[in-house]
Amino acid sequence: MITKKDMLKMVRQVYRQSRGFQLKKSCDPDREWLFILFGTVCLLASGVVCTVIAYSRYDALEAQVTDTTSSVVRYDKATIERALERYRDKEAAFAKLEYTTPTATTMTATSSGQTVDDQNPLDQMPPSTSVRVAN
Amino acid sequence: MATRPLITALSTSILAITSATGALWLAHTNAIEATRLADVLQTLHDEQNTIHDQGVLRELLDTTVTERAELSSYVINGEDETIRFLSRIDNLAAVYGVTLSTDSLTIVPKIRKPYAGLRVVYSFKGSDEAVRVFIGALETIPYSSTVTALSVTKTIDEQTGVTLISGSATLLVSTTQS
Repeated sequence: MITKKDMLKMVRQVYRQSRGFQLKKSCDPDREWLFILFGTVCLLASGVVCTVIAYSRYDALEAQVTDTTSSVVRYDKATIERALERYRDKEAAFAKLEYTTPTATTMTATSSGQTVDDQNPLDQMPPSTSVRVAN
Repeated sequence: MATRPLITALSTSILAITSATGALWLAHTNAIEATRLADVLQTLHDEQNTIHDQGVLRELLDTTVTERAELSSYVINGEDETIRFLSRIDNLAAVYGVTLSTDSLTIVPKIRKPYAGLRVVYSFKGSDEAVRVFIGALETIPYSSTVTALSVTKTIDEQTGVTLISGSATLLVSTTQS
């Protein structure tokens, strides 16, 4: 049999349970505010750090440009002059020979391009002999 | 009253996560754009270098027109000039009284870069003096040429007593033909 005392006990128990989740025990406004403030500060700070890193990284983009080596043809003036000089000499020697009518006393050019007198190797060759020269 | 701090905490968290995601996305976009910008800068730099090199080369070509033209005149350029060159040697032989025949005519590819070579083998026969002058002319003909081989045979006609020289010469001339 349920006594008055039991009834009161049950009512107290139900009443206590009906009070629900006690937020006051787990959530403290001041503490939550501090958490939010701390989180915001952290976010801002990381944002600033990231921005500074990005700025310093991308500010010097021009420094990342590598200088490619150019391949402009080198003009060797001295060699060209020497070559032209050689060809001009050759042309002059040829011009002398071009208008020469061969005679017994004609001077000729040797294989080195120099003119010699009376030193024709053909003269020194005995009859019916052959000579071969190859470069 | 009891759920209000929870809503605040949730909305703050959502805001923070959204902000962080946005910041990461921005950073990622920045990185991509920076890479693209770096590529563009590199291309621009290369292009500037190329334009500079072209300018230098153009100036070099302009200032060396005379020398290059003179040098080119010593190299056989094209079929017509090859014919003129061969005719010139034939005429020389005729003027000197040397009997000349062309034994072979070959193109040697890229002997002296960027030129090819025209190898001509001649057989000749004539008097001592005529052959001497002719060989001299072959050696000094104003072209980028070399007598690479020369063979001579001296004979004396026993009946007339005339000295005759016969032989062959190989001439290698620079040409622009490939």
